[in-house]
Amino acid sequence: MTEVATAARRPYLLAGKRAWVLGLLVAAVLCASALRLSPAQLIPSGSGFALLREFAWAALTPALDYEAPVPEGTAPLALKVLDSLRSTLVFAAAGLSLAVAIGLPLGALASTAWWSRAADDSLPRGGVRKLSVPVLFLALRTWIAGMRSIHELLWAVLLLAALGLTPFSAVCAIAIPYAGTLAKVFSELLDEAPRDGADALRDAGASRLQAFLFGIVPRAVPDLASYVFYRLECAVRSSAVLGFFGFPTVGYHLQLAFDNQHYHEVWTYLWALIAVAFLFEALSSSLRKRVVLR
Amino acid sequence: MSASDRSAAVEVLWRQRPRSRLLRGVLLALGAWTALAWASPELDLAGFLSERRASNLATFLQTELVPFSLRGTDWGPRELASWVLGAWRRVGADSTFATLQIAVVAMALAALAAAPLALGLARNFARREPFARSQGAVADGSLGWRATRGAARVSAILLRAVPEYILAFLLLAVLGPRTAWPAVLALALHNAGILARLGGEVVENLDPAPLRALSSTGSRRPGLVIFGVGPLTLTRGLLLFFYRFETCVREATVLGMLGVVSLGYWIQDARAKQYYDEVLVLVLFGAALVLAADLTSAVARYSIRRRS
Amino acid sequence: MLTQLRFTVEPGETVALVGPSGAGKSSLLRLLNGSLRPTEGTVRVDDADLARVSPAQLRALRVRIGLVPQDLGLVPNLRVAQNVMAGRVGRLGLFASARAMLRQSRTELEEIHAVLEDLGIADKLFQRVDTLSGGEQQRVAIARALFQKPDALLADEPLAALDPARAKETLALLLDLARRRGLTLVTSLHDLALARVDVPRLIGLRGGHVQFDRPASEVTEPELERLYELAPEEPHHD
Repeated sequence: MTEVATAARRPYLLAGKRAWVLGLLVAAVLCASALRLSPAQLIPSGSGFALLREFAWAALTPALDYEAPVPEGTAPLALKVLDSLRSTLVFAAAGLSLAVAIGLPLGALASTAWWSRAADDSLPRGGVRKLSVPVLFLALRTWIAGMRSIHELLWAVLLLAALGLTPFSAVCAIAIPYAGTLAKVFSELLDEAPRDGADALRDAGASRLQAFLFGIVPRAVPDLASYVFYRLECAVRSSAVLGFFGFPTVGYHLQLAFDNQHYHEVWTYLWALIAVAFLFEALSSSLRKRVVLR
Repeated sequence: MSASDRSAAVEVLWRQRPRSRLLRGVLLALGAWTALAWASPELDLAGFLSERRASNLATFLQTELVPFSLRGTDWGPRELASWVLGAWRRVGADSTFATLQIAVVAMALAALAAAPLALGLARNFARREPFARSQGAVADGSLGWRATRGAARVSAILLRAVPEYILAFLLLAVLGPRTAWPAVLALALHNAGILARLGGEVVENLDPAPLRALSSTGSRRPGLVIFGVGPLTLTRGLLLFFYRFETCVREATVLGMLGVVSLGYWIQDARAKQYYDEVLVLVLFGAALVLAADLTSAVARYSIRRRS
Repeated sequence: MLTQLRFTVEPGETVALVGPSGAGKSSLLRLLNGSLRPTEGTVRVDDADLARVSPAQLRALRVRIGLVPQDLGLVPNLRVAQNVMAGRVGRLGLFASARAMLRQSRTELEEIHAVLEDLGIADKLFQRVDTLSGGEQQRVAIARALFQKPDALLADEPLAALDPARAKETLALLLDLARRRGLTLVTSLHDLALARVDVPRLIGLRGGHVQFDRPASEVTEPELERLYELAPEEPHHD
């Protein structure tokens, strides 16, 4: 008999999971009241409403030219938008590539996939060596969690204060937390990958490193690749937002345009970001269809 | 087979090997993008480390990060601890809890919005006969359902496309800074898009057999959802929820920098005053909150996995 | 649990292990290549006690023993050529093996092609392993073990994924390859029908004990049937 039919007959069987749902709803209501949120606050005030209306209409007619007179010799708007998009993409790619270079080795070190089923004949023997492995392991995982738990914007704040408004600050602000998440995901993928390939390699006389590299890593690569691709999309968004802090990306120009009430220009930048999201979506679904053979 | 025959055979097989032009194209594009990025003039790393910058960095690390009240005095761990505690009581505690509350409400709203959207995305549900055996493209080719699925897909992408920070920025201008709604809505909308996409995949991966049985007993769509899809996807749905929850807390911390009262608000405040010692300690409070959320989420996911 | 085992396999011998599932055939094979340690007694390969050799020596020994595991141990998203190449990484250093796994040289490819041809799947050289049928994958695993250029071949249920006709064919192939290359072959067989095969040495295992150890021609029908008959409350022994 199926879970569904029994569930229909005896709903209390789901009490465990249902409790979670109920608990979460109750928690949400409590938090909402703690924040003094009420649906009435969602109705914008008069000026807010006017802004909303003007802004919403501007969505349909993004600016192709400047809305206000600009100094002589300023590049056309289209060029400026493209250039800011290019800057955004530059920071995103640089940040993510650095994150990959740091995060993947870190993740590999932090995984437990080194121990294979075959007799553990080359694990460190003896007291001191036996203790050092799990301690190293724990230290590594804590370090990774630390990198991950600070948002890229907060890293930017710290790096801006320490190093000033340099491109390095932006690249590192993206690279550090992204390296942390990549390391965590990679180490989980490696932990969960089936070990039979690596065991077979060890049976053929390969060393533990060889068995790991050629038996386990290839199995984690497809999921890792799609995750990196997803993170690239996120990196573009993070890079865009970094513009709010002074870096020359989309966010900077968007904020400037908004503060000057050039809503059509704001929408030009927003549509650019939306286009990027659609492009990534299209690519990722085609890749999944063509490359993943199931 | 002779050596030359074999050589030729291998050559032929190599030419005919299955490969994806799309994949190679994408990999090439990504490689080019990365190479161009590092070579671009914005990333002028050569002129990066100058005398002045190095000395600024030294000053920053040695002086500005040290708590103001402790500078120049002979301080140790106890003084540091009491200063940290003071900062916590003054601004840290309230804003940390506010951050957490924003994240919880936002995720709950996101989940509520994502559920119907996910159903609209699922190719096996959003069709004329849910979970029926598909007879080629005929069964789900009806225009109405294809439009529904298309609309759901576009909505999910749109919701995801705009970063939460920018969404909050825009909402703040419309709704004003007096309430937490700009942050809550921004997070809820963005995460609804993400949860819907992931949830849709969960529904699509369901084993259709029990659901087909249920629908053959006369269950219509609402019944199918309540008694069929719901229970079967609850586990994975909860796992997804907690997975995203940690990210949501991270983001909620930062949205305060726009003016909504969360940790980010006080970070921005301290930053404007150039009190970097406060900035650092508040960032660390935020990190601690995220780590706590991460731990909670991991524990929750572990216990959900064990029960099922 | 295997108990009271005592036997020797000479170089070049062909041995078939037969018996019902749970008899301990897999465990026995794993004892022979050192991936399982006996709780009592010793396993000697070439006069070396497997429990006492250094890790480096164990690796060197394992390079000379090709094992075809029951679960095949293939990497599904890699191509056949790469999976077969993996059999030889034990002989190569780190960089050489990385190069070999990423891009096989012409010579290596031709050698792989030759091995695959012996097994009838030469045309699958560059296919991804997860696009192959169970039987084809089985043969890839055998190819990998052969590519290792071992002195001895241990095969754990190498016919499990094959249909009866293919199974007979592959078993004959294995025996023939072993004879031609002078390999020591120890293979386990699950199926009673295949157990009636003409090998120089047939070892019957049941419940962890050796029931007989003789040339196949000297094993009687009733003995074979008794080996496989269902007994009540037979605890699982693998």
